[in-house]
Amino acid sequence: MSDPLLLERRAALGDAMAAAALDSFLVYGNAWQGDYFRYVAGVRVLEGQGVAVLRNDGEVRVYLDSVADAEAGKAEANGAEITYAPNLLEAVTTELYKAGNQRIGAAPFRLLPRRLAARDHAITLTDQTALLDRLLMMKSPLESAAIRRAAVLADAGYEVFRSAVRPGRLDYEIVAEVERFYRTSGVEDNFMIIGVGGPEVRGMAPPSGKRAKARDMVITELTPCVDGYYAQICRTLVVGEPSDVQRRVFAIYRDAMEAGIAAVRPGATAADIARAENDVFLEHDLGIYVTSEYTRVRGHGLGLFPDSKPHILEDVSTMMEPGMSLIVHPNTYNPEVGYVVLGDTVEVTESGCDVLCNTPRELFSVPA
Amino acid sequence: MRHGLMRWDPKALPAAVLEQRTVRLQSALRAAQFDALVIYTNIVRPAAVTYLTAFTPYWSDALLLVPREGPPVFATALSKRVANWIRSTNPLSEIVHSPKPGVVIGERLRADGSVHRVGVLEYDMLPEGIAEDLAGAVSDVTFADATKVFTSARSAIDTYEARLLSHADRLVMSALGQERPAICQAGELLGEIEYDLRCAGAEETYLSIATDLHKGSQLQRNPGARPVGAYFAVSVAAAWKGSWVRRTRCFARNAAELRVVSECDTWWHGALQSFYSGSGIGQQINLALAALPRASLRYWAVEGCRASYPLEVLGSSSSTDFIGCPGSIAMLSVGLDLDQTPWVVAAPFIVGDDRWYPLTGDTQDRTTASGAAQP
Repeated sequence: MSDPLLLERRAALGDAMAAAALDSFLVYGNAWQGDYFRYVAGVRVLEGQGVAVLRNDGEVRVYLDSVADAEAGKAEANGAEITYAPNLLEAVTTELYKAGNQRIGAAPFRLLPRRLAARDHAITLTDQTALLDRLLMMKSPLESAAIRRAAVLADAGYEVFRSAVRPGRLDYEIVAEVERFYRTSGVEDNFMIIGVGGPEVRGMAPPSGKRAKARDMVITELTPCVDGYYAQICRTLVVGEPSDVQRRVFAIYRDAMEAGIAAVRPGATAADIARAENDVFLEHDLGIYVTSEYTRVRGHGLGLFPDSKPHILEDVSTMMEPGMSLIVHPNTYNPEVGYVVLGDTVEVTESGCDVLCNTPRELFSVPA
Repeated sequence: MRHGLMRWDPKALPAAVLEQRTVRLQSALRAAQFDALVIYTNIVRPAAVTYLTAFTPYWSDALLLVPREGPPVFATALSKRVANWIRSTNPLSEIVHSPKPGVVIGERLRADGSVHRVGVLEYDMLPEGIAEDLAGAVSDVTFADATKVFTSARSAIDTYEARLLSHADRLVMSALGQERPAICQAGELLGEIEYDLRCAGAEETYLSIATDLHKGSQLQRNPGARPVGAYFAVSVAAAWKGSWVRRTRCFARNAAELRVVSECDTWWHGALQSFYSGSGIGQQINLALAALPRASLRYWAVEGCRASYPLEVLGSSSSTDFIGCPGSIAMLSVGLDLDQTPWVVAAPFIVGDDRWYPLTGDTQDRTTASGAAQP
């Protein structure tokens, strides 16, 4: 095994298991929520589901129910024994039965297949999601370096995005340009949504076949993944020269993002950051647009998952600590111009935060 | 996540067809003494909900409640800001947004006093959190696995699904058929293929490559700057409006491997004319290899869609043989060694009443393999 990131993660989980007196740790993952699994297994699950079991002697067994995932996993040397298990539940329960009467932690418990989580057999799994959440949130220098590499590609991807937008271009063609760049650059995954239009655009979603036209706003969120770690950037552009209204509204979002970033420092809570962003909207009598009716979160953690904990919301009390990575994005709907997005990836430092994205925080314009 | 074109097309999949599918399933549920069916969906296991509603999640998860009669109820953890998009891809269901879809569906079940026995597709795989939410919201309701009921009702593809699959297959064949002799890096090659697929409207695509078949036929997903060898294979799984196909092709850039590709292609096209229904495909492949005596079979596998997975292994050389039911779709993958040189292929078929039929014209397949083999 040559992946120092993976070695480091398994060692960290091993220490946490010892402290919690656990004999084994079981993680589950799929292509949507794959971070807990990836933390232990080191391989990506894309077409199916996976379970990995880390024992306290360091042995790792990985079970994948997709033959394509298993083949790709075997191609990535990672020190784990990888098994193609078309009947995933059967294979994993057999393994657990063999282990006998052990103390087995599991995460994320809420997504665990019901039969594994059920307490009606001899194996008892305990919900240790919070234990692994803590490890997922706190980044080591190696993890931080991976996120910084991903942030460089987030900036570069946005350059490709800007170049791809022109009148008449279909939204999915724009996405295709970005994906081509990312595949060529060795980016293994990219969470990306898009919006094209004006006040009728109430959020970002996958492409639906809209053509960009003059005066449209084109919004996107790019989240490239490097060595398993995601960084994110959110930007808004206008096809043609932005109108005065678009400029005025965008300035509110820039102020909100900068207020949020200024609030990121050790000891601040997720709620503090969210409140700093939301207060800017309140000052402009736009408070209704920071409610769940119009937006989801004011940012979120980044790491092995593009939408990690903590969620930046006024009711989340998670405290910022050096080494945490997150995006601050005051994305929401505006009734005059539609949904606007703006966000940068940041890393919490001893004195505040480093902003990892270098793309200017401006309302971009492309020729109409 | 999904980030290709996602939009319901009423011409390609009329609302009436979705209604017919639901009605057929409801009839099967009643016959099996179920009062309703609950189906879980996420981006890995979307196929059953897509079949009934045309909707595929791009992210997050959701539940579909198919009642005894009437339209389904779709409860999603996706927020209201994407409500318009969800409606554009899910024309018929009632749509409810909730961070806890299990609670919403459980409350619906409880509100209907006549519901006592509820089926769940792939019940053992239902996420624990959803299962707890469901169970906590009901009283006097029992849940039981109803996978067999669902699979029996959807086993044969209808005309509309066949057309969607054919379209997906044409996209893949076209992207794999482009000549790209100047590309030397594997990541760039996959990037160009992905670009073509996405520009053609693919909903999603997964690509992988064995960059040098002489060194191994394991397919890698993220090869980056790894050089493309003189003999390599590319595998593409791609979806068009929720319908997935997989194809794998070998490409040769010099004469020795061109001969292997040509010989194996010829065998393949002869063999697929002989695959008939009602008998195990593994057994038939072994019989067909008599026509290529210098070859040895390394593996075969058949994938298809019967429940929530778009492509699920239904039989393989390492498990059980596969006998498809007439009207079903089968993605057949085969790996051979010819004179110690590996050769791989995957292509979609429809299992007919009498024999297997290529989903899309196989003549083009053959041209593709040879045509791409430029020195």
